[in-house]
Amino acid sequence: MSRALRKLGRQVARHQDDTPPQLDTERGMARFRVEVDRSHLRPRRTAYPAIALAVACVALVVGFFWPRPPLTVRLQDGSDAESWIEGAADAHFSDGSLVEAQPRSRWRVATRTARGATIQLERGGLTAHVVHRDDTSWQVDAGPFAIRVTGTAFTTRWDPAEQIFELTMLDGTVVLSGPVVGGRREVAAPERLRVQLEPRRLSILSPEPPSAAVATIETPTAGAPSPPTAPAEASANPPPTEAPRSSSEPSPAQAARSATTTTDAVSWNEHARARRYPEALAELHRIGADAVVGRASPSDLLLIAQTARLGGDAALAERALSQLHDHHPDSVQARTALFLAGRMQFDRGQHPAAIASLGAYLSTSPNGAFASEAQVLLILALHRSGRIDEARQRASLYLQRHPTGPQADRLQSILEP
Amino acid sequence: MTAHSHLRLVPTPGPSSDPPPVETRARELSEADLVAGLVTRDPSVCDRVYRLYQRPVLYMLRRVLGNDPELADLHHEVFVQALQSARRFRGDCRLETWLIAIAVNCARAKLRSRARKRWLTFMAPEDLPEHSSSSGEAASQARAVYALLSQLPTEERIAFTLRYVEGMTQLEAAAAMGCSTGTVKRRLRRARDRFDRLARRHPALRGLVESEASS
Repeated sequence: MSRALRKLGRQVARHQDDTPPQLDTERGMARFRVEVDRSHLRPRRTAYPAIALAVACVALVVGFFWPRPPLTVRLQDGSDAESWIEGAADAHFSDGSLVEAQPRSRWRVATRTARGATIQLERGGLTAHVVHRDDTSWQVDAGPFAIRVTGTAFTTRWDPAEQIFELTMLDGTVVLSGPVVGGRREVAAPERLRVQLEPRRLSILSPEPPSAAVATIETPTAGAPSPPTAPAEASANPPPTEAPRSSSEPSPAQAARSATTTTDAVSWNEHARARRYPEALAELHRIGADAVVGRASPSDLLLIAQTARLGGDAALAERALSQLHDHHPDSVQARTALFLAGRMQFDRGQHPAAIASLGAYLSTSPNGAFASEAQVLLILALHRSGRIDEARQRASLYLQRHPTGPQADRLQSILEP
Repeated sequence: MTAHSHLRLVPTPGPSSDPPPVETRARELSEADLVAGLVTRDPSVCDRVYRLYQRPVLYMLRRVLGNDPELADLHHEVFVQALQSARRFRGDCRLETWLIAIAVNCARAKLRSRARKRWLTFMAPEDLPEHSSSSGEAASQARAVYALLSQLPTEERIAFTLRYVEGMTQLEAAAAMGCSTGTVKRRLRRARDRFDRLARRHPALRGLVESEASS
């Protein structure tokens, strides 16, 4: 076959050579000259600038939409900052921010984004130095309080047993949400703020000027008359150098700082999850709290109970807890409701009822999320109701297991004669 | 690239109105001078390059494409590309070899472009006529060959024409196509098989193939 093809090819080539292609050489050359002149006059055209421009545009677009990596965090001992951390530790973030947890604290870095992080403080205190940037978004969740930060330094404490929250601004401002303080309250340096949930009391301590006052605000509980303001109690809270000032309403300055951003379009549970308890309660009452309680899921009932408790509507909290207990007795939320009921009863001084509720919670959820706190409250309730020996026995056992647990100092004092 | 130095060129046609023979002009300027002139767009050197090499380029295009109506345009395109890429010429082969490789590339691009258009317009390859005004047995045979070649994949067609029509060795064909000799061998084998099958069905070529088979 190859030979035949070679022969055929030769014949074709011979034919082509015998009939040369018609090409007007002069015309072809003229065309070529035009091309030469054009490229001679024109600077050498390369695609590089266009390619570079295209690459730059693509990089710009991709860079704009490309998700930035989240901040990284490093603990001194190299442990995982996203697990619960007991005790003092310093967390260094890649944006230069620093969180210093105090001894006997329980905390963790819950989430990290490119713009910031969310720190959960279950108990104890921490100082945060957040580096300010235009889009910084940090949050510290201390118990039921949320501190939103855009670049500042502050110290905060949360005592779950005493239900006391403290915030000391060192620099800048934060926006605080939580019970008693209202939906959103701006707190600026050098302000100090102390919130007590039972009885509901907000103390604003201003260290400067020297004559600065302590503003103690007794917030009435919804659905129940507020106890009268007790100046003696108020004066007991601040340092001796600070003069007390009591009020049943926020001062104009405080009111100005307190920004309410509620809109009707926001549902009660959105408010509740954002720790805007007054707004959540207002929305619940607007749409009919009893109706909502009647048809709510176990999760929503628990959220209503929490919201009502922290928003100061004890009656609604009780209704939600009763509904949960009666209609969803086997749910996980019903077990948590036992703790919440015990917590509320303890706060009100209903110690026998608190003992029953907390005991029931511990028997059903011995390793539950609130087991440690329930143990402490149960011991305190036993002690306050006169069951000293039983309280000491439980305190001793608790301290053996949790020598640095919450309220260890307080329980230690129970053991002392 | 020693292969390039052995690359056989298309035969120089007989006397015509074309410029003086290559040898005469080559003595005047070295290849390095010609390439430098292309790079700097020296009009007189560019003219000279065109005059020296326009014929080998044209013949190579015709070998691959046959009597193609776009031959003149492709010819121009080869020189334009040479002008644009002269800066990249490394001098490791003869200028003529380099221009022939550009011509093969241009022919390849044109064949591929046509294949795409054909696919888009649903035009059968045999519908594309072999453009020729000549008549006679040799002409009809050439038309038949290019009609069959138009049904071959582009690379196989180029390998076939370089090897069997132009008469290049496999090494030379590989240099012109910018691939290895192994690749050329593979393409040639496939092209032969395909061409053989097609030729057996073509009245103008059947006899040639069958007589070869019987002998």
